[in-house]
Amino acid sequence: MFLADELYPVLNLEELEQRVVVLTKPLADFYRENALVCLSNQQHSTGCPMLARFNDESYGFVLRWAGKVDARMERCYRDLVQATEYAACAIGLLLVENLTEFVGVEQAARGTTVDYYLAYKDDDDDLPFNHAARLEVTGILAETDHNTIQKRITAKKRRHKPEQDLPTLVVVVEFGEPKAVLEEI
Amino acid sequence: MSTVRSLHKQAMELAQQALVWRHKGDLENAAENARHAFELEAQAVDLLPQQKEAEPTLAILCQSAASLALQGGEFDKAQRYAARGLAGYPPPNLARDLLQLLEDISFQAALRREGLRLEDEELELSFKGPAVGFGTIFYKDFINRIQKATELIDRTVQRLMGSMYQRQGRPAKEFRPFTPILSTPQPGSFAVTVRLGSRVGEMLPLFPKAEDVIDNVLNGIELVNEAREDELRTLIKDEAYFVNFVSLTREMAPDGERISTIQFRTRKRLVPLERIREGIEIPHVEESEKPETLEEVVLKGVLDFATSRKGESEIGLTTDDGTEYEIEVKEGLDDLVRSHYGSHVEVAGTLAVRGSKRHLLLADISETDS
Repeated sequence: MFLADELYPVLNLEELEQRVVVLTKPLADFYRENALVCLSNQQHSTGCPMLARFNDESYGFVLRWAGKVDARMERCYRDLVQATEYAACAIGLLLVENLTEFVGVEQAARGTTVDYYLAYKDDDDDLPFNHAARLEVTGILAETDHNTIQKRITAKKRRHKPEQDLPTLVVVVEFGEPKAVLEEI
Repeated sequence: MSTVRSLHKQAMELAQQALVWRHKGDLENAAENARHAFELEAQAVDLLPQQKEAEPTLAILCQSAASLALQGGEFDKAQRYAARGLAGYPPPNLARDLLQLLEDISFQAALRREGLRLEDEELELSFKGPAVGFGTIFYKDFINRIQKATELIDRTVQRLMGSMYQRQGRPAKEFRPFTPILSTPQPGSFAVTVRLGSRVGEMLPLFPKAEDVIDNVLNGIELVNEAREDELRTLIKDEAYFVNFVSLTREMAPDGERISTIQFRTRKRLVPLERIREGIEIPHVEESEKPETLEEVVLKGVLDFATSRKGESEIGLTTDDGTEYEIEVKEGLDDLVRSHYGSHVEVAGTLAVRGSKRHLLLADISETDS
């Protein structure tokens, strides 16, 4: 199915660095390449449609990117479980930028990865996380009966008890269709 | 003047670079970037007051600084900043994350003291069947199988390194490049992850990579599961290693009653072991010397004596009526038999009587409930 860019907003993976200003070029490139590997693994090409659900509303997008997966990328990203998580960051961060009213993304190191936080307003104080919500992004290469978007969200809800935690926005990106769900918990 | 925001921003740019280097396999540059990032993040933390009003920023930045120090191999600094985060007023979930981080730092520091580092490759074993509950399993159904899995990895390393099959004693240090490490059971069915620790600075080019070892083990298990032992024989040409591989896989295999499936999973593949133990035959053992009488028997007793006298059987069996048997174990089956030493077992094999000596050429062994 082809969706014209005029009808649906475009999520352009080539614009990741410009859209998500906290990303440096090396990390933006890294996320983008992971996304290309996952999308290509699921037989998608640039211009494919993507459905996202947020606050019980559905939103259609067109996914665009440049270039193709080459042998180097296949070698580099052959661990598809890990690639799916990084690929989800590429699309998840673009979706948050498109769909939510958060004004900025902050980040912090956790373990060997980077955690993202969302700023509610343009703060000029020196406490970057004091008015922030946690952003949890995760990916599924292709949904199965045992591995669904809903099960991922339920697992995240179990981990983050709202009364004890920062407000949290969960984004689950699935590459089989592709589709995504954003849910505040 | 530097602010918390500007220092943190610079730290994160370096942290992102570290993540990309690590993925490219350049661990040295990744650690170097992480150390620089830590210095900046630590300065940002130092600008914050240890007061409730600084939360959750203080806890998040402490966690970030500790994570970066850990990535850079600076355990003392990592510990100090994780503890500093806990000493503030972190929200409960951040406090939980900081406590987990402290545990991880202690574990990584212990690995360092042992001169080990964790390889990235993981092998998850998950068990299914009536003996398995949500995150629980009967000890006896688990322990023998996990021991066999690590023995299989050890033997595969030795084989891939071209070492002769060694029946007794610990192999030389150079044939033991990995140390198995078990990580937290995952609930669901019952799953544990085996990771391999390697000695820092000692991984020579001739050592097999952890992922190649695990891949090789999975190739073999897949062939046994599909009853393709003939193809396994072409993969494992050495007879002793071949017999050893089949016998250890057989010991791990489901019994069909308590355990129905064992799944072996890496990031790249999933290999089930569903073939029932009884259906896997241990490769035939050739007899060289002609005995006086030969008889196929099944005996029950305790695997109870061992001598180290050259040329004699190492292991014996005393049956319930007190008769003693020498047990001959073919090369490759020794790991299997050793794990039952001291237990009440049922053994099957060919009984050869030579004068007063009762000699059993072992074909199979399993523990009994008594």
